[in-house]
Amino acid sequence: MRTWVFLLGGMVVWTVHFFGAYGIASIFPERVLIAKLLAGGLTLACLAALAWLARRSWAAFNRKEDAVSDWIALLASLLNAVALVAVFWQGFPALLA
Amino acid sequence: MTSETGFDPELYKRFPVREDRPEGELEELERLWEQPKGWARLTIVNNNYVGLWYVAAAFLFFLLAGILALVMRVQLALPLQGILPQETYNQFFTMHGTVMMFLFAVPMMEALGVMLLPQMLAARDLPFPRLSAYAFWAYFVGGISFFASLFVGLAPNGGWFMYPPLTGKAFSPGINADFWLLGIGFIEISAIAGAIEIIVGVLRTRAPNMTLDKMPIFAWGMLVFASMIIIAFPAVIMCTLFLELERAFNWPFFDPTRGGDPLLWQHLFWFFGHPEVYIIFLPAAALVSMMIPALARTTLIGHDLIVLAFLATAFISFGVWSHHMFATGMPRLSVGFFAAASMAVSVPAGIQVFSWIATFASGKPRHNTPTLFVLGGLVIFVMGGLTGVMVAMVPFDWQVHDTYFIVAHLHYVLIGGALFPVFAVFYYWIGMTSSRPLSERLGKWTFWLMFVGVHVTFLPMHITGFMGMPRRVYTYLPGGDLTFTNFLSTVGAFVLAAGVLLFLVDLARNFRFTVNKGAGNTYGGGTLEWLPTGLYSARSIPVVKSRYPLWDDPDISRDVEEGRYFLPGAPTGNRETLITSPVRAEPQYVQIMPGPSVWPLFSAVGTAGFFLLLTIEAYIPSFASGILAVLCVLRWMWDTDRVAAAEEVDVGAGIMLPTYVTGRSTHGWWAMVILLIVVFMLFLMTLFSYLYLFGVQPDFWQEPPALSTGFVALGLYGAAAGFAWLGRRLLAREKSTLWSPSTASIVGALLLLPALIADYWSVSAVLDPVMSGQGAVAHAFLANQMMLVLIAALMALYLGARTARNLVIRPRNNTVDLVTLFVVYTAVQGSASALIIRLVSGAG
Repeated sequence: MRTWVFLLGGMVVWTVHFFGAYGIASIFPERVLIAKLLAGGLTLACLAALAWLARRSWAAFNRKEDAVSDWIALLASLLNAVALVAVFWQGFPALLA
Repeated sequence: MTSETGFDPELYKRFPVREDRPEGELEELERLWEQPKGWARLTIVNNNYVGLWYVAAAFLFFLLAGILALVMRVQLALPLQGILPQETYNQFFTMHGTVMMFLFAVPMMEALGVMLLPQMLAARDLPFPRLSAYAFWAYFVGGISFFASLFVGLAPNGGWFMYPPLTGKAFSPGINADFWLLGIGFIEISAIAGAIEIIVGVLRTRAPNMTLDKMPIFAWGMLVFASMIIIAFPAVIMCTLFLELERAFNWPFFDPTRGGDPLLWQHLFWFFGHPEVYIIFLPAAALVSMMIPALARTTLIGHDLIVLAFLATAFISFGVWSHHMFATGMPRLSVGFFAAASMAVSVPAGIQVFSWIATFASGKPRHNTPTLFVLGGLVIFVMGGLTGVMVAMVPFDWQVHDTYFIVAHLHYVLIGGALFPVFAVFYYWIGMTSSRPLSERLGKWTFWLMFVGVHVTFLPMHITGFMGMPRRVYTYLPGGDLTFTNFLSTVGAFVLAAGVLLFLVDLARNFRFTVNKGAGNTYGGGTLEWLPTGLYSARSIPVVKSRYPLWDDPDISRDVEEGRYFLPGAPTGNRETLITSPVRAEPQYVQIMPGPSVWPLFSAVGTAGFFLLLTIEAYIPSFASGILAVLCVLRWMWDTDRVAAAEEVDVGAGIMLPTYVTGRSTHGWWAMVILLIVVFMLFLMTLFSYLYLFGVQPDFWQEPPALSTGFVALGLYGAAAGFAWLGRRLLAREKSTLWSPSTASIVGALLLLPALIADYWSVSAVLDPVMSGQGAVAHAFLANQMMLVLIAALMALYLGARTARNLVIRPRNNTVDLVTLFVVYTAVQGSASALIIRLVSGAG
C-alpha cells in the first residue's frame, strides 16, 4: 500500500484540490470573493504539499536502490510534477473569475 | 536486491532449469485443463473460450447498434422522410447510444482483457474464472433481452443519458424507461464483476519478476480501466436506482416541487458518464501501445510517459463531469474549474499521441492492415480531441450544446479512440485464436472504406451542428441548408457500413477458432501472449527479465514449452496458477483454480431474470429468479476455499510454495476489498445526493431525527462488528470448540438486522420518503444498508453450513476472514449513515 500511496500521492493531492475547489464554489455560489479567497488558499496549500512530495520522490529517485524502486520513484516524481502544474492551472479560475 | 515478500530474487537464476521434465507431466496438465464437449461447452470457464464469446457478443451488439444507426441515417437523408415514426426514432437513437456505450464499448474492452491478459501475464487463467463466466453470461443474456425490447415497441426512448423529468413517470408513463433503468443497472453489475477480476488478475497473477516497470502496457491500461469502473460505475447504479424508486414508489429524488432536483441526475450520471469515455479509450490506447512496437519494429518510445498518462487521466477524468452541464446555469466559479479540468485532461492524451508518432517515426513500419487502422484511428482521434478542447471552452459550448456538432465530436473521439484500435486488434491478435490469419487485401479495403466512411459521415455533421440542427430530432424542414450535409452523412454511413460488411466476409472466409494451433505471431510481437500455448496457457511460467521477453531472449519460447520455468506441471493435481506479489511479482503461493461449472451460467440467467421480470412487474417470478441466482452463486462458492493434500509443493527448481494461504495477501481478500470499495462508492454517491439536495433545496429541509434516537442502532452495529471480530480471533484459539468461532461470526452478522430496524424505526418516524427529497435520500441510505445486511445474513447462513460440514479450516480460514471483513464494513457504514441522517440539519 505504501508503494501506491507514494506513487499516486501527487494525483491524490490534485483530487483533494479539485473537489475542495468545487465544494467551495458550490457552498458559496453568491459570495464570490470568499470563494475565490478560500480556493486560492487551498491552491497554495496543495502546491506546498506537492512541492514537498516532489522533493521526497526526487530524493528517493536519487538514492538509486534498484531498478524497480528507481522506476517507481521516477514515475512518482513525474506524477507530482504533472499534479503541480494541474493544480496551478486548476487554481486559475479562482484568480480570474 | 530489495524483496517485497521475503522471497529471494537470487532464486530466479535457477531458471531455466536444465533437467528434463518427467514423462506424463504434460499429458496430466492437458487432462486437467481439457474442456467439456457438446452442450457441456456452456459450462466452460477457461479464458480462451469465455474471452472469445465475450468479444463475439460485444461485436454482435456493435453490428446491431450500427444497423439502428443506418436506419436513422436513411430517415435523415432527406427532409420529412417517413421511414421511422417519431416514437420509433426516439427508441432507435436511445438504443443506438445505449447499446454502443454499455453493450459494445465497455464489454469489448473487458472481453479483450479476459482473452489477452492471462496470456500476456503468463498466468494459467484470471484468478476467478467462474466470475468471468458469470460476467459474460449475465451480460449476454441481459443484453439480448434488453435489445429485444425494441421488437415489441418497449425500448427506452429518453436518450442514452435518460434525463429526468422527461424520463419520470409523468412524461414517460410506460415501462420503456424501466427497461433502461433496470437493464443498465444489472449490466453494470456484470461490468463490475469483470473489473474485480481484472484488477486482481493484473496485480496478483503476473509471471515471476514481472515487476511494475516490466508490466505490459496493456496490463497497465486494464488496471487503470478496471479501477475507474470501480469508482465510476456505482454513480450510474445509484442514479438509476433513484429514478426507478421515484418511478415505482414516488420518492421525489428529482422532483423540484418536493425538494428533489433533476440536476442531481445529471451530476450522478456524468460522474460516471465522462470517465466512461476514458474507460473506453484507455484500454484501446493500451492495445495501440502494445501493437505499435511490433508494427514499427522498435521498442515503444515513452513507455513510462504513457503509464504516467494513464494514471493522470484516471484522476483528472473524474474532474470533468460537469462540462456536460455548462448550459444548466452552474455557479461561474464552478464552471471555471470544470473548464480548466476539461482542458487539462487533453494533456495526457496528447502525451500518448506524441509517443505513438515518435515510435512510428523511429521504427520501420510496414504497410499492413493493423498499421493502417492504428494510424487512421490516430488521425480520427486527434480530430475528435481538438473539437473536445473547443467544447471545453464554455462560450463555445453554449453555442453548440446539444447540436450535431457534439454528435460529430463524440463519434470522432470514440471511433478514433476505440473502434479503429479494436479493428487493428482483430487483425493483429487473430493469430492467437484462429488457425488462419485475416486477409491483408480485404483488410486494406475494409480500412479505406471505413476511414473514408467515417469522415464523409461525421465531418459534415460539424457544419450541420453549426447551422443549428439539434441532435435527436427525427426530421427537419426542406428548403434549408441542412439537406446537403445530412444527405452526405447518410452516404458516408453506408460507406462505413460497407467496410464493416467486408470485414464480416473476411471473417467468414478466414476465421477458424483454435486454442493451440493459431496462425501465430504474424507481426512479430515481443510480449508473452505469443508464447506457445494450450488450454492451460503457457506450459511453464517464465521469469520475466524485460518488457519484450520474446525479443530479448530467443530461447524463451522453447524453454517455456519444455517446462523449464515455474509450474511446469500440476503439483496439486488440480488446475492452478501462481499468485505473485503486486509490485515485484514475487511468487507467494499456488492458487487452486475451479474448473468448468454450470453454476455461473445458471446464476447469470437468474440475475437477468430477476431484473427483466421486475421490469414487466412480474414480481413473484422475478423474486423466484433472484433466489435462484443467489442459490447458484452459493453453490458455486461451495467448491472454493478448500485445502490441497500437500501444504507446500515444488513449483520448479526446488522452490516450495504453500497451497493454502489466508489473510491480507490472498487474492480473495483483495477481491473483497475491491468489492467493498464499490459498496463504499454507492454510499458516497448517496451522501453526495444528500448534501447536494441540502444545498440546493434548503426550503424543503426539515429537522432530522434527534441524535439520541440513533444510539441503539449505533450500539448494535458496534456489537455486530465486535462479535464478527471475536469470531475470527476465536478460530485461532485451540481451546475454542468447533462451533464457537462461527457462532460469534454468525451472531455478529445477524446483529446487523436489529441495528438496521432500530435505525429505520426512528428515521421513518420523522422523515417520509414520499414527502421530500431529504426523506427519499435518507431512505436510500437505509435501503443501501438493507442490501448489505441481507448479504451479511446470507454469508452467515453460508458460514453455518460450511461449519456443519467441517469445511472451516483452523486456525485461519478465508471464509471467516471475508465474512468478518464484510460484517465490520457493514457495521461501520450503517453507523455512518445513522449519524449523517441525524447530523445534517438545516431546519429554520
